Amino acid sequence: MHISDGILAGSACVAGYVAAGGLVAAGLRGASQADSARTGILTAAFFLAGLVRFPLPGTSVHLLLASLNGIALGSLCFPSIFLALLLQALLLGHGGISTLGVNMLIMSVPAYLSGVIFHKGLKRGVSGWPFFFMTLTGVLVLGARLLTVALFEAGLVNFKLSWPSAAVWGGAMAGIIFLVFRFGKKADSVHIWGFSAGALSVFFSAVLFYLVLSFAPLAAHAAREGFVELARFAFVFHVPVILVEGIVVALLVRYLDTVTPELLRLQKPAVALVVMAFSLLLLMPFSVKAHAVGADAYVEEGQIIVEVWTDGGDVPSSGRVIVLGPEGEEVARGEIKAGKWTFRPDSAKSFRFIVDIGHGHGKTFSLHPDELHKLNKALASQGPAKQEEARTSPAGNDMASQERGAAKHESPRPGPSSAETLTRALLGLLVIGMVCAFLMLRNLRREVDELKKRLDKDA
Amino acid sequence: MHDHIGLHHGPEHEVAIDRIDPRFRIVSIFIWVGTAAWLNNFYALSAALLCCILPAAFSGPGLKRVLERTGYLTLAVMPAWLLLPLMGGGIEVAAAGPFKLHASGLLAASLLQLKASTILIAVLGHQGRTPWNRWVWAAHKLLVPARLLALLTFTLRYLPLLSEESKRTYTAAVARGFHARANLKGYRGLAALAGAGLVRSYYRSERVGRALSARGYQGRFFLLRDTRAGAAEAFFLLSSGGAAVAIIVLIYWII
Repeated sequence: MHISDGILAGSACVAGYVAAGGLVAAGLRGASQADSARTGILTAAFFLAGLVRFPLPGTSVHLLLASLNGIALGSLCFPSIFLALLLQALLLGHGGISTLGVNMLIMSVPAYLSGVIFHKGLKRGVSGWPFFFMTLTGVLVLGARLLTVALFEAGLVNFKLSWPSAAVWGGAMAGIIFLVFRFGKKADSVHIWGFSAGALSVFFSAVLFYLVLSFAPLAAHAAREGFVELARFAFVFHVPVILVEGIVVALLVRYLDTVTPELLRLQKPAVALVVMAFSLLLLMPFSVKAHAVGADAYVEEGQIIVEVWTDGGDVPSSGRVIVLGPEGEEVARGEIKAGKWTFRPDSAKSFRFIVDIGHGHGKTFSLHPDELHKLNKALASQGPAKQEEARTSPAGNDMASQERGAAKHESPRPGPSSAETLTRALLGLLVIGMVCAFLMLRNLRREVDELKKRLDKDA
Repeated sequence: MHDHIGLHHGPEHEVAIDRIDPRFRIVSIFIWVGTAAWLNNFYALSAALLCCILPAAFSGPGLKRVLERTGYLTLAVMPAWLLLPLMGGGIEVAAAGPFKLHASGLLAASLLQLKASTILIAVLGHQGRTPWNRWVWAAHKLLVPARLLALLTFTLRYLPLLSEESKRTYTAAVARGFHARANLKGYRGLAALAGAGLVRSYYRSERVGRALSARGYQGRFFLLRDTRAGAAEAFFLLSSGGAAVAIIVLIYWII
């Protein structure tokens, strides 16, 4: 999850360094010389602990353990992570020198936040289960959505989960894992907060990585779409890492809390929160642009021409259009070339167009009644012979006819209506709720039995 | 690891670039990092890479080490090589089944590799065999906060030491029958190993911190050898900056 040299534009690199400088200064503020020595040695230890490879079925991963840094060092984690990344860039060639500031923000801000969450949670004596459940749900929902979008755009599957469907699937998975953890084995609050801190740290780092590649200014040669895809794949591949990191941090924190609890109490007061907010804001204004998609269809010489553009005035180089009939049946589909796509219909109907130019940008619209009227007139003036000729002529309508042929083999996929989606989401939540209620009742029953036994013994 | 961070090199191992004041070398590194980050032209970046690789190969780490590091770097840039050519638009260079290689993606990946390599090799070339304490002193003179440098010094000092210690601990665990598996038990064992390393480092850091305080350590850096800027430094900085400017001029006024 490190951004290499040469991806970001100079302005983003400078902004990253300025923001990182602010955070490092905030981290070092109030630290004594003895703190520097201790932090330096612990930085080396964290650097090495991060190189330990943890096995996964079929492969192995090295963990980031930045959250542990945040938990143990608090705001001193900013200089610590800055130096660790500098050494990684110089000794191992991971990351970059020009992008060091941005990489440091990606890693250290979530680490610091996860440290704050861990300490606040433990201090207030909250059990942490709701937080655990929310963390898991967030990871799995985003993972499920991005995985299916990535596979869909790679052409490996012919569907992608909508956000509500991803919420149902992710929520259901999180519910099952939650129940296994909650009732399978007794885990204490240090475990739970440790898991949440570890998983959230990597999760937010992956999200920040994605946001930086999506919105920060890139070098002139770097194609935004390619790097957004890269970030999406990186996120999907990190989902197992997030879960393993959560488990390992939970176990490590439990171990450290038992053996040297003072190691987890080194952190300085939260002086860095305000600086951190400003630092992140510094990265934002460069290129936060909405990519609203504009699209329209008009009739010309018996053909419907679909034109697509973005609000910045750019014309998308690729994308696709699906044409649906009045009953929602697919009539044709095609690829957008240089912002345009032409389609010659057999008859005039109130067509609906679904435009998708990738990365979640799209628009659905219907043919304007005036244009429908024009189409009616144009088709009538052509007469049945001409229409037949147009249908059979390879030059006239080859694209649309080929695509219609292809469409026969593919099921039409107009998205589910909002009522349908809501029903599915509610159904999923109901199932999770019922399973939760069943297991909670079972647990309650067990506890009542134990209490009864103890009372009998006392009696 | 000692070799990587230059702890074992004394004055007898010095190469030509080590005689240049490290402050000037840091400024020169920034010039080359900035130039490489800013350039977006294939020919200009190739020229910049050549400018950096020649001094790195002959004066500093040697060609073998430069190639080795570039190899590591290529591994890090590999996802871009694998994904960008498949995703870019424009002219298709080759196709195999559903996969199509696009020229624009290949160019983007190669520019990325060139930029990253130039920056890494520029750093390696300027590094020479200078020990870290001289770099820290130079950075301190260039107004980098002393606390941050102290932190860096301790990290560099203890990195090889802790690395060897953790290897010994792992070997001992394996000798006792430990085998890392992809299950909760395996993770618990590895977490305990990492935790033991952290605990040991923590106690060591406490001892070191107390010993430093007892000796009156105030975070200042001193050098035993005399370092003065002279004509050689001025010539070095002018030639380094001049080469960078020449590359930029080459792009904007000639090509």
